[in-house]
Amino acid sequence: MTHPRHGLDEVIHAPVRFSIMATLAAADKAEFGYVRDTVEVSDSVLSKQSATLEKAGYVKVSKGYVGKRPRTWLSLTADGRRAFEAHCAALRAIAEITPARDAS
Amino acid sequence: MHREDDTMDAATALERAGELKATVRRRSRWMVRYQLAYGASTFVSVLLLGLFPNAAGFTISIAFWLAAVVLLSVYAQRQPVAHRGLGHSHAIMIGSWTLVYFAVLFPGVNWFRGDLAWWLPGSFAVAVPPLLMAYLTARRAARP
Repeated sequence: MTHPRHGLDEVIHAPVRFSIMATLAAADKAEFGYVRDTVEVSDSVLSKQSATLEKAGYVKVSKGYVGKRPRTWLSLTADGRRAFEAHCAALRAIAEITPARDAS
Repeated sequence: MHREDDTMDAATALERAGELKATVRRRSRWMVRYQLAYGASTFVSVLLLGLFPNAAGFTISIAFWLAAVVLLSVYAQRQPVAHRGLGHSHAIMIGSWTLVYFAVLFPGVNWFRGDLAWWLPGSFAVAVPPLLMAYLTARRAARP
């Protein structure tokens, strides 16, 4: 039970959700289309995965207008930011510790 | 075998996170342009206000400043991403700009009307907070 992989967050670990979280972690907020293009997924995939992250309480989805154009903004919640930092810490621990064990 | 997979996944994921962070930083360079334009606009506005201490000078200065603020607000609203900490750094910029603005305008309007020796350095001083923040934002955006 001491292997750092136990510190990985199952919700964040999926590649697309991890990329969404990583993009939003670097931003105060990002527009839906920007995240879609940056993560390189379709509208429907981003909608589905961001809904999963929203349900977990990690992502906040807000809607508004710029002129007459509707816009959807995504941002990390405080819980989401903490969870992503903890997930990355677990990843770093896995990347650093495992080769040392293999070498022995 | 399981541990090797973990290591590969972890290293790849961390590398991907770093790439995405760099992408967001690059796309957030619009804020540097915003801050430079803010600094230039406030310089012109304060200089106009100080060197033409009459109704026409006041009207032109205020009209110029309002137009600049509207254009900058529209420009900012149209951007698709704001880097982490942008809200905080913007608040610091506006707060320090406001302090310098009133520190220049209050004595200037009361005792140095039309005096280039006050208004030229005063206009530069008012432009310093946004220009300094533009430098810091550019430096941050250039990080690998």
